[in-house]
Amino acid sequence: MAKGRKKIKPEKKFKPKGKVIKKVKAKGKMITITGDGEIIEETENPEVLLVEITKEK
Amino acid sequence: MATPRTFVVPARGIGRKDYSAVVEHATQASMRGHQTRYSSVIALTLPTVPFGFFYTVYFIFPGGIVTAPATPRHFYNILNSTERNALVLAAFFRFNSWADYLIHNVDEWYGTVYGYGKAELHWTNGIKTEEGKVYAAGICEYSERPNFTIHMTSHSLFEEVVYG
Repeated sequence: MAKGRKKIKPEKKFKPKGKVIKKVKAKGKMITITGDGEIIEETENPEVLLVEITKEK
Repeated sequence: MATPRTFVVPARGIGRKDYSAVVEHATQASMRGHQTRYSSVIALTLPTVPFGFFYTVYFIFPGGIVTAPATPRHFYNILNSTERNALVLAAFFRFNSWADYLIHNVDEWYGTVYGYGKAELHWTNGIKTEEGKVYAAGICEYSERPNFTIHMTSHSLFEEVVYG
């Protein structure tokens, strides 16, 4: 490395930390529809994850 | 990649003072492209949790798969709303795999916003999906009631170009 040249450190990515507490069965529907209104995917009572934020930064 | 089709310029206007084969060729469309628009909509009822907790719901791609396909999909917004004027959270994450999603090992965090009654994340240029990754939205409402019903709408476009 040439004299006086500073090493450029890569930028640190900001990633919040989270912890999954449990899986929860939600009541309701998840639907994927096209622009024409055609339903291509439909899921009833999907499973969602309950997450706790453990670290903001 | 589709092969562009060729065509013969009809013999009209030849001999006119203002005729130009170049102009006539240029005004005839030889390629059409479009993007297929998709919307993901959820209406879910969940137990209320304290601030600092939230729920994540993954996106399902056509075919019932949970990982992004080879054809990129562009997410343009996540809009979460509730019937009450309560604090609402909207977030969007990317995970390297389904296993990472199950432990909330975030690969890319696209943002978290809060709002009263509704919260929206919006990307003008869209977020392009990468094949094999899992994409999930964060949803939650914070209030004193034991349960809440939240609605989420997300608009996205699939790249599709049709030649002909």
